Amino acid sequence: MRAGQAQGDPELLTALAGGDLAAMRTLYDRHAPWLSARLTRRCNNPDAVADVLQDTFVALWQGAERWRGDGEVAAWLWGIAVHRLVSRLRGRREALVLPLEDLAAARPPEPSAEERVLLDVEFGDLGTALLRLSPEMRAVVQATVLDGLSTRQAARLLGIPANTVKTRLHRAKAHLRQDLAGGFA
Amino acid sequence: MTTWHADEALLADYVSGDADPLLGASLEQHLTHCAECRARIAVHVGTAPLEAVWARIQDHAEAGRPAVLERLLVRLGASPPDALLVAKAPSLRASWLFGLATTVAFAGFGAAWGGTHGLALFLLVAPLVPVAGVAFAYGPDVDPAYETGLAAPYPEARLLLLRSAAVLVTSLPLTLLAGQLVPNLSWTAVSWLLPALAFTAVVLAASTWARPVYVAVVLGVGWVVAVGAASWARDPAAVLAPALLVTYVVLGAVAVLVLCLRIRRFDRLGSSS
Amino acid sequence: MTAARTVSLTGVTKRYRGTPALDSVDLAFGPGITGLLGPNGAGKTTFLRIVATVLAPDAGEVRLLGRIPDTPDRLAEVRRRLGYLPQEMGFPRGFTAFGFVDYMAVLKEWTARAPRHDEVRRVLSLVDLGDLTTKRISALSGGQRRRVALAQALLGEPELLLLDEPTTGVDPEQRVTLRQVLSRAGERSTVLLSTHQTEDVAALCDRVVVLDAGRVRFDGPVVDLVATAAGRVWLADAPDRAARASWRTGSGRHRNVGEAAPSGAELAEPTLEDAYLLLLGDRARTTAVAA
Repeated sequence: MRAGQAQGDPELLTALAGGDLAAMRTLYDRHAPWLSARLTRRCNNPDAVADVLQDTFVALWQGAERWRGDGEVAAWLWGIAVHRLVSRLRGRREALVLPLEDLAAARPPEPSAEERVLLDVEFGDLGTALLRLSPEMRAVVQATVLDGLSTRQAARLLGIPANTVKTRLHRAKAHLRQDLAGGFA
Repeated sequence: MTTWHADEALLADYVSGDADPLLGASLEQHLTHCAECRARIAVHVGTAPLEAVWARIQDHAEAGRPAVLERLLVRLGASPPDALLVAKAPSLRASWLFGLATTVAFAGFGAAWGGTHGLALFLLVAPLVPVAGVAFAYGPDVDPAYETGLAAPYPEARLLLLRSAAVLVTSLPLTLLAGQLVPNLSWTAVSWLLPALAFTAVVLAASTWARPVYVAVVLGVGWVVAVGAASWARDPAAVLAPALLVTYVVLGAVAVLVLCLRIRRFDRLGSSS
Repeated sequence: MTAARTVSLTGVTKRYRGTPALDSVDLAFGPGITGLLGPNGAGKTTFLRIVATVLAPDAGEVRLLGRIPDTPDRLAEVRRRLGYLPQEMGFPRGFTAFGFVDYMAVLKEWTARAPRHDEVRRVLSLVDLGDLTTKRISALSGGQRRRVALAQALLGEPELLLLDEPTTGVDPEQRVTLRQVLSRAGERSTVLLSTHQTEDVAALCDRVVVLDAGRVRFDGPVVDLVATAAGRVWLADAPDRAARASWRTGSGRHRNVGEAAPSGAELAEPTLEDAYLLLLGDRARTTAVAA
């Protein structure tokens, strides 16, 4: 029985900042699986993902008090993880993330009713509009808007020049604005 | 508003990489604020690699981040165990080094602007800095776990010498730098090194008989008296007069000789009293 | 065929300002747990320090693990195989439990990092501090700190384990854990346990040595020492003035320890503590009469 099973993430963070390793173990058990999956979708090298996961939690151990207490701990952890990933990819051609391009071709872009609910819940109207974007533009939107990376970091992650990121993002926003303003059935 | 949760199929697809990109992105946003789905996705992710990563994290957390000095020593070629033992000396910790830098800087500025008294302060502080550092690097007065360390196989002489060397390397350059602030010094800006090294050797040699801290205090008091007398006669630099410099050299040489002869006493039964 | 003795002292004397802390002591120990009892100032700590090689005797021969440690090499060899817990052990500032035991492990020549860290974790979980490895020592209770100190003595499963008051400040629950640890250690190693707690000696030791004013008063099996108190411990409804010691127990009866029990008195089962009290008392009386 691990200590602190009933505690929320913020309490665990406080304990962790006070040197409680068991609290970090609990946080790890809760968050490492999804973090690992999400990282793998951006970089399919398992060793790199393992290293980033390790760096994230070591950074957490050393700097747990930096959490400002606002928002979700999960989101904060992802922020640390994705920035670590980007730093790691400096100069290396490891980021092979473009399942966005491959798979979009394989599956039809029409979501099922169940999936529509998910899109609605997470993105609202934006969800279906995003569907109409090309995979390249969607990748850029995901990296900058959803993952919170800067243009340069997104460029490093996706393996494309920074200017390309800027252009695609600009075009994506134009498309989305048009779509949302025009409304859709 | 219904509470939506991911079904197992979606989670499995997502983890295996088969989920639609946009759905995957939506799921990721959902996971950010849904603890239940986070728990459910854990089943689909293999535990063995995660356990392996945890073992490394645990090791980092328990062992702690090595001090800057420790990493530096390893970079300079010291073995990691030696570097660790040296870096843990009380007078080589960050707090001590910071205090050292402050004291030395203060003495330097004092010498730059304080005229004769400033110079006296600098001459007082400069040779005593390494003496204090060596006295507080080792021994029963500064190390609460000294006796337990004695009962361990690591050679005491080696520990003392390595730590003293590190003290000299960290404190002398700083003081030399501060010495550059002293006006019209030329020779005096470096000749204080002779009493500094001599006194350090005396502390080391005497530590084969007595406790380093006591010896350091005696030396310190003696030096204060000497500098005070010279300062009262309006010539603080008199403590660094050529005749005295020769004395320091001889003193240091004798101390080093004694240390070499008696160094084995550290590794004999019952080196403490 | 006697087993090879791990520790052997012959004629060992140590003086502090003229008074002998140890006066021509002859003792030998082998595998198993030996208890060392004695009043304050009896010389127990001095004795352990000499065996732990941190103090040199003024006279006599000390043989450890079969050899006399008179050269630096032999000394290092002995120290590699011993673990020592001093009576008063402090901790330098700024260490965590793990960090401190790791530091001691380095002093014990565990040079490779990974095996060393595994060993540190092993000894810390032996003393039931596995969940507190990352806690600063300054944040631990007295009993927990004592357990950290014991953990470092257990590094490397030493052949010779010297413990000076290992259970001081440790709460009763943890004391049971420690007894288990020490008991297991005693199966393989020579353990010398100096303590005030006669219950620890009674629970753990087969053999006991009683020191008083630097001299050995008793050296033999625990049961033999207890047997010397046979017939000298009895229960009564009122305190007995003639007894050496008399106190009221929880049941309302008075437990008396002294010379022969009065005829018809209800004899009680003597404990090690009773025998120890009687032994020291006897000695005091004898020296008083002789003076």
